[in-house]
Amino acid sequence: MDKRTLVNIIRFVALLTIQILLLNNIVLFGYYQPYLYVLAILLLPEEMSKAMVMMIAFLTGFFVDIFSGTYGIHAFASVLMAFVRPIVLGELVPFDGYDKYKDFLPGHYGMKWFLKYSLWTVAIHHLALIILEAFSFANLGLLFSQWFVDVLLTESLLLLTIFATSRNQ
Amino acid sequence: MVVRYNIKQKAVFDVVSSSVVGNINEWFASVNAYFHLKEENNLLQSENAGLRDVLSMKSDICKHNLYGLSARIGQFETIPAHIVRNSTQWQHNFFTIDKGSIDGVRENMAVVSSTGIAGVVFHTSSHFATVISLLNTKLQISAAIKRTHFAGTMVWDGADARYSMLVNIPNHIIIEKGDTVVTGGFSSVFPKNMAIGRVSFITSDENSNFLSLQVELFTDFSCLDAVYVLKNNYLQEQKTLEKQLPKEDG
Repeated sequence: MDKRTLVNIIRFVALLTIQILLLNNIVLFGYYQPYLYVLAILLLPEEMSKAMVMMIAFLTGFFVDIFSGTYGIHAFASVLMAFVRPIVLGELVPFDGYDKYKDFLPGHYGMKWFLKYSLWTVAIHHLALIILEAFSFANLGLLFSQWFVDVLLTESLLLLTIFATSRNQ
Repeated sequence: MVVRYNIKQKAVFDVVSSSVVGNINEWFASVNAYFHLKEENNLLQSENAGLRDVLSMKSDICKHNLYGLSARIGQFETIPAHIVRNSTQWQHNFFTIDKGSIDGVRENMAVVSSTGIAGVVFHTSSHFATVISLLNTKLQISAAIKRTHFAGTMVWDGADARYSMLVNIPNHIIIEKGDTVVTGGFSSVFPKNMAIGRVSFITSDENSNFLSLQVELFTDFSCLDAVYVLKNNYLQEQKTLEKQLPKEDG
């Protein structure tokens, strides 16, 4: 097992632990919650096949579902995110293409690039999550405000995690 | 009380309330509980005070037991439980408690906190049970204004974990802010007259002739920990009797 695979595995274990034990118990104003575990899916290597990413995303989401008592919504949202990931990556491809030995981190492709990449994918993930859970458009305004705040929370926590764990570059 | 729930994925909930996941959640909830110890102690203390008051009215205690006039002595049994997982942010919230079928918890039993009602048991495994929270837009509970005894339906609007809605109260009923809302009498799940909340906002819809009341819930779901499952000992008897009624729709 090479170093990169190991880093990814550790990342999944760490983020899932944080999500399940810590973040699942932090619900701001009883309504807003960050979902940091999506970062692990975002940072999977570029060379990994689409099917493999979706499979991993499903397992990750399912795991979160089991511990949150939500029935399949995290699994769905994660697979959807894994599905749109290559599309977003394709739209945002930098001038000289992706380096398959580099992770999708702001340190490698720039902050602006990373913000676009993570905002799109996280927004789609959260939208699917919230709409699927409600399964009705009765409280649409409310759901959208929840979506907006959740995306902001996840995004800021995601950047914080990256800055806290990245070595000086 | 009406539970309109047709979820076929009950199997998933088997996993949720199964031993491994339940035990991990339980372990973390036990850590988490320390952060709410003070509030929890205050709640239990005030509940004790209330029970002392009931005790002091000795002559009445035989007729008026804890669960009000409608219940007989011994009709309701109380199973104490703790919450090991809870949520408030979804439209359909559930929580998990640490008592299951081994402890006598069955589906459709009432779950109450020391301040008000909390939910209805959805599914049980041997050591855990999942509960449909009052904060679930699919859960409808028969409720009444305590002062006027007019009954309506309690249903959460999905907006704010502190408030729920009481609907289907006719327009001509005079209701004041601060009126207490209690469980209605036509339920085999909840005992009559259990506290739910207090009317905090009244809206009247000209088109429908019904009032829509915002009710401030007595139960604080954000730090709910100790709950009681109420077992109705006469439920089976009542159901068997009611089964013998002639069917109207034929």
